[in-house]
Amino acid sequence: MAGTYSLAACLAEGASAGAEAAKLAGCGDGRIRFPEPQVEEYPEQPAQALFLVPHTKATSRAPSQFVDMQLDVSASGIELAVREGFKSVEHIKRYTAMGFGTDQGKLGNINGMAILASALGQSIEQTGTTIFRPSYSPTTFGAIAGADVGALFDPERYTAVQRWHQEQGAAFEDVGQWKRPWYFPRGVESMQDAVSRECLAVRNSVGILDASTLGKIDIQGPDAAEFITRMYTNSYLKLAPGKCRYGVMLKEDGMIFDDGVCACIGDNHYLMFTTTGGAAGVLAWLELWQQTEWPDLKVYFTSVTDHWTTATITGPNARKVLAKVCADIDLANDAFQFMDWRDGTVAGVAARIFRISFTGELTYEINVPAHYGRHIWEALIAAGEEFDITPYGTETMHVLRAEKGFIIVGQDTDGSMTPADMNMDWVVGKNKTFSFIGKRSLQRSDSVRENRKQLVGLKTVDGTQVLPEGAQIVFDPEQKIPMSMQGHVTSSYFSSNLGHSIALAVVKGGHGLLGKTVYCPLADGRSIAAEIVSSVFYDPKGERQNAE
Amino acid sequence: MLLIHCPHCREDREEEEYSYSGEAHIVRPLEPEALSDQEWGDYLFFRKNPKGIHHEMWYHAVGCRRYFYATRNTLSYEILETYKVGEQPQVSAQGAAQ
Amino acid sequence: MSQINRLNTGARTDSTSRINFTYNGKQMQGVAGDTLASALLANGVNVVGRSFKYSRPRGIVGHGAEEPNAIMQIGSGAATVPNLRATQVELYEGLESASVNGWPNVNFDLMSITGWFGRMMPPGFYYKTFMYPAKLWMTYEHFIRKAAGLGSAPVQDDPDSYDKLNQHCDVLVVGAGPAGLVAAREAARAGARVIIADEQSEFGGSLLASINSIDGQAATSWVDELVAELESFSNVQTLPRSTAFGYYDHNFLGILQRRTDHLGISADSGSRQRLHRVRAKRVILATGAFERPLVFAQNDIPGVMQASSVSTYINRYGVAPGNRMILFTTNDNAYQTAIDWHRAGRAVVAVVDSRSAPSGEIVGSGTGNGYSSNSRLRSD
Repeated sequence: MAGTYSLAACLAEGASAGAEAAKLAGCGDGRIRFPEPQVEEYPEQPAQALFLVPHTKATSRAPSQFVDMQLDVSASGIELAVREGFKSVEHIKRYTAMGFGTDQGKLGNINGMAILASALGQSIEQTGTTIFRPSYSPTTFGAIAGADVGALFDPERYTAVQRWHQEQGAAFEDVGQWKRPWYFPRGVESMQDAVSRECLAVRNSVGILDASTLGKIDIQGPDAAEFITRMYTNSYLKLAPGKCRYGVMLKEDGMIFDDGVCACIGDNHYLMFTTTGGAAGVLAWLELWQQTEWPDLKVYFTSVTDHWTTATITGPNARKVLAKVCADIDLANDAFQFMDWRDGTVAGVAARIFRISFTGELTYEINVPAHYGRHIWEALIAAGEEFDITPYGTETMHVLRAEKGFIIVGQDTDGSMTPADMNMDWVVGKNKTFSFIGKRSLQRSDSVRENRKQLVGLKTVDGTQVLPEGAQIVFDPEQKIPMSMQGHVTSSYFSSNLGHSIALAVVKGGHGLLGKTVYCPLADGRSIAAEIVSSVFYDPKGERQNAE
Repeated sequence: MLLIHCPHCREDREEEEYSYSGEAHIVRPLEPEALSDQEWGDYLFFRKNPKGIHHEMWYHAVGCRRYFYATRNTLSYEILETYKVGEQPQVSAQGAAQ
Repeated sequence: MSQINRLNTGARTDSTSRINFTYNGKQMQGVAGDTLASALLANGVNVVGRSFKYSRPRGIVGHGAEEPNAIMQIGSGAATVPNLRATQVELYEGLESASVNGWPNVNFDLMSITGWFGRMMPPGFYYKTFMYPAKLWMTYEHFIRKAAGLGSAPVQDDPDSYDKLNQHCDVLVVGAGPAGLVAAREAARAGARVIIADEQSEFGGSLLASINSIDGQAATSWVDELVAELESFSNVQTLPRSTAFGYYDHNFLGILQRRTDHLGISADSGSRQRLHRVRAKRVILATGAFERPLVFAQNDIPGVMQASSVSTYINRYGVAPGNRMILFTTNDNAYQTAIDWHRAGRAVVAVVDSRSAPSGEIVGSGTGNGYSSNSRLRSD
């Protein structure tokens, strides 16, 4: 691409470019190997640089002299644009549409730029060219997508129990790349009916959830406890083997980034649970701080998400179910307490059992190596048969946790929520010596200002009405549009356990507004009235998870 | 799409194996509580946005999972060097200007 | 319609063959080796579309990717493809084509009424006129979009499949004209892994329409030998019908290979197109050049064509796109077109050279070919 026109010169230049490029790529010595092709051609006299053929009339009066055929841009149009004050070639392009066509001005642009230069009284060099961008010529979307369509568009991740879920006719929900059972309809049951049945089963007897997709990071090293304590808002320095603790992780700006339970497996050995969607991000976050800021801390991270199948059994009968398949752990409430974990054998398979709870009920999360997943699942289903053990999906999980006011990071938070906003001051260690990630930001003027959006519960005045998630909240539904928006609904469900709808919302200064009636205006012009209530709708004292 | 040399793997790999992690050589204050809101805000939010030489951090996310630094020309996208955390760049904006 | 402009001299077409196709519903015939553009010209089609803004009738002006006017909808149904340039569409049996601009059709265009008000539609017209009141924008947009035309996207799922190939090479040569071909040969001989890509159906670039001789043989047969030589290298990958459409950072290039488009729109033979994602150590851009058109009053009327395109239609495709020609030039090179036109048995009415005293050897050579310096017009 060198402005060479004669055939002989093109051939000579091509040959030397080929040899030189090969040499620069590490091949050969740059010498030309083939004899120069012999060409007969007329020697050329110089061409005239003629960008606009003059007309007897002024350009603006002459018949159109087209520069860009596809978009009907003429020489007079370019001159007019200059008279209107445009100077930059990029502006002229956008104002006249020169080079906007599917041909991108392959023929016309050079003339157009030269005419522009002349109209501006400057050289073509000073005027410059517009930036050409790919594609050189139109390229089909099909080719860009290639075979990455349909089932191959994105990888799908399945747990070891996936086949069982399919056999039960589960409806699935995408959670990141994971396919998670959403609910398990029986027969022609509607989603709402299935979810109601599943919710009641958990609160009244026992349910089982495939929680394998939760992120799991194995953390080891002599400085593991110190490191983890710097990352979470609370302390892990005194967490003993066999114990678990719930933690919230902040970004350095003080905003909630992930949450989960972290268990002390042994001296210098911890297992961190993350949200399903946050697993990769949390791992990168841990690595970032260890590698760049605290390389002196001896601690190592391994993603073990896929290594484990997690079967969660939850409900008042959970202990009875577990007792039928696990003989080597003392399940008595005093011996295996809430927020403990134990090693044991479940249906013949070595397992780690965590007594933690996302439903507020007595819960055991049974972890076994992933390839025993279906075996352990079927053993639990069989053991639970007499209690009508009910498999449930993510929707029921969401409803049950919302009844308890447990947040989901990324649903009830959006990267602008502090622990205090979420009514979770209790999770922030006040006496930690090291300034954990995000701590300083909790004292920033913006973090402590009043009128921040705060997590509250909403109870609709008409309990049959379920607020749409994302609905805006106003204090006065009769005000003029645009209304003064005070917050929005983050989670909303019908609770069959409570017999009315429930919602979580963030409202400006919400913690001080308990009892106030607010309104959610809908797109169809209606407004739904709701009362601000505590975000904990069910078992506010948290007694059920500690059940004997 | 950039071709990036991972100083840990010692290979040129495609950009899609990496993720960008912002400006390099930002040191966390040792005593955050001793800082004013403005000083903490400077550390937290303010970043260079140079036209030309920029030292930045990359993460070999689907490779060795290590963070490293790169000196990149933000105008030409040329990567002039990559180096490990703890090392100093050989190329700097001042050096390049000379 | 018959092929009134067909010659039997096309170096890359077989004038004894017959390929049936339709254009705006009309049955036509072309020959093997034709593009849709060369076949339309052979059939005497002068108007192929209407312009975007004024709806002026437009004809074919170029012979490759630079073509601004001959924008076509190819095929029908699920596999239809909008906005292909007729100059780049290889003819195949049963090809269906239609102009994308022109409402209700290219020859009777209601929209051309906007042309009468040409002076009322200066640049920035859309910005100035359709901005207010904002409420009416949806109405304006509808009108503008209809006026803009430019093809219709298929509404059904794409029945074709596509794939991608990630490749690395030492030397990537973009363009397989004379410079690209010899560059690839030298690089290959030096032991480099070479990819050479060209958007045309066959390698050779400008030489496919050249009447020059190289090493004592016709340029086209010199190309054939060189391509065969390149293909004999195990370290060379040749990609015809492959457009290097983007040159991205760090020598990363996207190349779109059209594998089956020339066989018919629903040819069932693997992927229709392949995207090569190439990371090259070195890149040689041997893309050639476009002839710069001349900007003169009424330069858009159908029949005005690039000189190099006229020569290409005559020499490569065996089509003389018209009968009587006036050649307007600023350089020696275009005189070859007058020679080609004359050899095609058509009349060169005049040669207009913008230079005051053209004196190249080729300028004089026309004298013996039936048009003399007397018929040369001077603009000075």
